[in-house]
Amino acid sequence: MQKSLLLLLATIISISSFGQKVTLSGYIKDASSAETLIGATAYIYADAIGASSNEYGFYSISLDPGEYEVEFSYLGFETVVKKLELSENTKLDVELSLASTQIEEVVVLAEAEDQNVKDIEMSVNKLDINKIKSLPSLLGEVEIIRSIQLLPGVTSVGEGATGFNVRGGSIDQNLVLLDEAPVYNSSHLFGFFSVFNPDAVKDVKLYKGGIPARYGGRLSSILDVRMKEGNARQLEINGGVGLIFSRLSVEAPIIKDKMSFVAAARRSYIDVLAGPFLEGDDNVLNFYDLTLKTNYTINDNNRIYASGYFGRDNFGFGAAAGFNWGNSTASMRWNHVFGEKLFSNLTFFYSDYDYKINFGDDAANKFDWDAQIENLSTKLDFNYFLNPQNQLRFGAQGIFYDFEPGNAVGVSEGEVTDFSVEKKFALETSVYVENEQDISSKIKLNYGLRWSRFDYLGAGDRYILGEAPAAGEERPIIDVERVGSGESIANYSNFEPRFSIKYQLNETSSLKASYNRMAQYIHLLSNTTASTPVDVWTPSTNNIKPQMANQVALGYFRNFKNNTYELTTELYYKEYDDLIDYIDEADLILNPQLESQVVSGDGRAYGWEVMLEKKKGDLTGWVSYTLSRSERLIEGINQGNWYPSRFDQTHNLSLTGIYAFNDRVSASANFTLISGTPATFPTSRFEFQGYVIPHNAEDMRNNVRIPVYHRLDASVTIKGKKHEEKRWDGEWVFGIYNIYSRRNPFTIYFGQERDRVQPGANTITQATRLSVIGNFIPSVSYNFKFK
Amino acid sequence: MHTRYQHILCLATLILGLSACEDPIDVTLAEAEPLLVVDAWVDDRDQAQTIRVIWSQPYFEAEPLRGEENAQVLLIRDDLEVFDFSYEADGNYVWRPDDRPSLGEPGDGFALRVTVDGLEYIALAEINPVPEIDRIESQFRQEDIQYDEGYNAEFFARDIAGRTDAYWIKTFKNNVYLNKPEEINLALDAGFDQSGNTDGLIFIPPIRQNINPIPDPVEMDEEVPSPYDPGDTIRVELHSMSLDGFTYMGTIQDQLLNSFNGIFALPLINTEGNIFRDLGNDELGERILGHFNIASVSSMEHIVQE
Repeated sequence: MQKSLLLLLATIISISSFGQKVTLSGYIKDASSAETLIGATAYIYADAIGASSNEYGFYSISLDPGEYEVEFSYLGFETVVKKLELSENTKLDVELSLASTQIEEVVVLAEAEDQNVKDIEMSVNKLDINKIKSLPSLLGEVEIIRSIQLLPGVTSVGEGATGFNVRGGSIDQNLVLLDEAPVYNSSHLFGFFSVFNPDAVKDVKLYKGGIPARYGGRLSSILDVRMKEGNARQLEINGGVGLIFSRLSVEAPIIKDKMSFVAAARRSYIDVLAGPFLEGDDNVLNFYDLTLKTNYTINDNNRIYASGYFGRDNFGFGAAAGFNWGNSTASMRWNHVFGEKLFSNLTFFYSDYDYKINFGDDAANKFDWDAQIENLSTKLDFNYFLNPQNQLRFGAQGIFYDFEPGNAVGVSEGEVTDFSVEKKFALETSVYVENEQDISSKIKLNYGLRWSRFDYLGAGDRYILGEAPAAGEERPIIDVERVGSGESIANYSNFEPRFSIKYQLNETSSLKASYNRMAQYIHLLSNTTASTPVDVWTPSTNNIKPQMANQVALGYFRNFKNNTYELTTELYYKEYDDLIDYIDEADLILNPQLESQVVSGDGRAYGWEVMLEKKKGDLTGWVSYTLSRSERLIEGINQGNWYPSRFDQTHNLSLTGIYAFNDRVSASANFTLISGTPATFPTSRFEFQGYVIPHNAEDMRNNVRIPVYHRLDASVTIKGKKHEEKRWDGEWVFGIYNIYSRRNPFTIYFGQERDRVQPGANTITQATRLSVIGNFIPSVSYNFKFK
Repeated sequence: MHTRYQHILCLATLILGLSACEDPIDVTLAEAEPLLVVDAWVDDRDQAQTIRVIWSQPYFEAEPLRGEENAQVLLIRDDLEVFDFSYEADGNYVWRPDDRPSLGEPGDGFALRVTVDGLEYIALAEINPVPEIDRIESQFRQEDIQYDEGYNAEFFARDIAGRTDAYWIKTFKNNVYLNKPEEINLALDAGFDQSGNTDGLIFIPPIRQNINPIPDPVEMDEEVPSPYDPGDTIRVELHSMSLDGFTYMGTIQDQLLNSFNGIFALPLINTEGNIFRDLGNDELGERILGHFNIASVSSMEHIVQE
């Protein structure tokens, strides 16, 4: 393995060792806050070469010595052109100013605006936080996870369900990163709000395909959320008062231009709103989060960052019962520049998701339960700006997992029972190398290889299982072998090749294709429609194989009218191996013998996505449409035939428009139309012991579709008057979610009437539509900024 | 099986309930042929024992069930004693104590043989033992997450140690069986399922307390009636089950309570019983609907005092 990596490295380096070059490098920043810009470009027209800034705002271009005109640009910012005489390696940090609307009209359209056509990336959506903020939202809360559901290829099982589904994958197949630390449960209040505080977010990028080798560990997508560094120039306070949250964030320089911080907090009001429904004073119902980050620029070549997130949802019903859950993450990073071309980043992170439940206020009769996934990781990434034609990235990562599937202790009449399931440990390691290469002015490649390894470690039990008596039934436990601390219970390794190619058809259009293979070693155990906060993660074992996916995608990218319109259309096909599912009546919680109840199967997903976006003018917005299929093949389910997954949606259309009336008033609207998701309906009923039992005579899974989902939302934002000297900016946002009060079904369930069936009476069975949002929901919020 | 889970989900749906709405709708379902059902849950008490042979019907059809009149229903004990169940009405086949006071006692094994339209069906079961109920207590309680305001009861019994036992706890209020899906009360040893090491313990609190009637839904301003009133008679019966009977009832419980799970619903799955077509020569054919279990029963009565 190492040999092949070295060979690849050597080949790449040999391509490029010619001539004496000088290097221009540095950081591209926002002039107002000194915040670094991700994906900004430095471009030299005369030679048609350039580079974009990486995740830390660093760029580097190698050139022959000479005189150059370098243009630095970033969408929404004024372009800066620098004339440079380069005779030796040069460091140049560039600051771009936010384009004001007046200037925008006269500015010559910058090259960066056709990045979607020129860049190699496909199946990637970048969401500017300002764009997310201008979309209409549920209860006026700016929402990252809900916003990405307006993009092609992204679905959800329904309103209020946690997480999101990308190109036919389940929610645990998304790697959600907050400053490089994984977030295991991205939701507050089940799935209504995400854990990301919009005031602390700088950049959101979703990879649905063509995933570069530097990412791995999940099958379907990478949601890379980067936090702001904090204004390094002046104090900035952002905040808002909404119906759900009130928010406050503070950013300020600690040492001007060298050290800054951002601290952002949110707390919900739901306990206030729900007060009248909850009797008793000692009920608790709230959620909050705190996001912190600081950075310090030691010198031109060294910068360090520390960031953290802490969030919690709390439900308490007096002393009788309580339930709370939350994530915490912490990451420490060190950016170091070796010379002018080699950028490195070293990350240490800690991430944790846990929940706690308790019942009973009497010491002799109570139940306490908690579960956790915790991990520690070290990651080293290099970014080598070899020459303008090659940008090499390589690195390695190790993640140590500590799973606590459940610690539960019950006390019954003073008798103590310990239900706890033993801790599980695992180590996931990976190395990768990837190169982005310009073959010619038309062809650009990104190729790479990732090698990953997973070790499921003791101390623990290795379960030896026999064959299931029939498909879809529990496998018998033949033997249990005890494995000592640190010894291997099972291990797996995989090569994950990645490849993308772009072919430039002409100035305004390109064709792109990609292939990626992904391996996933940890799995979220969930068999409910929407995942619950009590679902636990579990490692691959000798019985639970890693899940694998292979994806190919083909895309056509075209810009119209001076890059005013961007058209993206893609076809994808994805195959899954060893997806996990469960036997009927599986006990996923507090079950030490869980492995015997897990079954595996195959999946496939394919679709056509199209997105047309208008990026400039008073009216901006997009149309996104997806035609897709997501299917599963699992022994013992649906009589062993392919069936649609619960989040399969044939058609998914969304229209989003934002209109700026003037500097102060803007309005936005969003319309969503989605095919009904599949569900399993009974055909028959029978009586057993006086109960009426539903029965599906064909034993089919997801055999019908619930009615179509559609919804219209709108909002109006009114900003306060602008004064040059005024430091306080305020805005009111008025919105209506689900304007025409459609009762979109989340599900249709079957059951008997809620009233007691009287002796001798026939039981009435009925179908009931559950709409999570049953009405239009108006909202008002006030946001402010103080600088 | 998922009862513990459902407690959590209840909390969840309570919160979601604030914005959610539910309304009955018309749905067209696929048609299916009637399927044979054998409901053969009998016990070892000295009273009439009934086995039902009926047919399934379309899901929304609330008409009286179609009983099978022309079946032959036999129970054969492992000492080859045969109990012939004779047809009475509505698909009910009944055996009444004769010179034999009951079907048997714990430890006895049985075969069920049912013949319908010339086809034979067979199932096996054994009588498992059941512990005595120690006591039932009732008291007035204030409302909280566990209790409705009013007289609430709790029973106490200890699981038989040294073996995996399954029980169905049935409660009768003034001799009327509490028949709501939420009132199905199952136990594996003294807990909900195999994951807890509850062998030989006193039943855990949620099982002890699930003998209180669940009120029908009321309007916001209406008062929830007290579960029991002074003078009410509570009878708790402990029925032993086989482990596959426990799984069967667990599936039924999950499916019936699934409508309470909201966005956290489980997929609809079919029950899998233990009655199969007998093809002769020790070969079994397809599984039919229903289940065969023979219980041992202990019971206790309690009158609610002021």
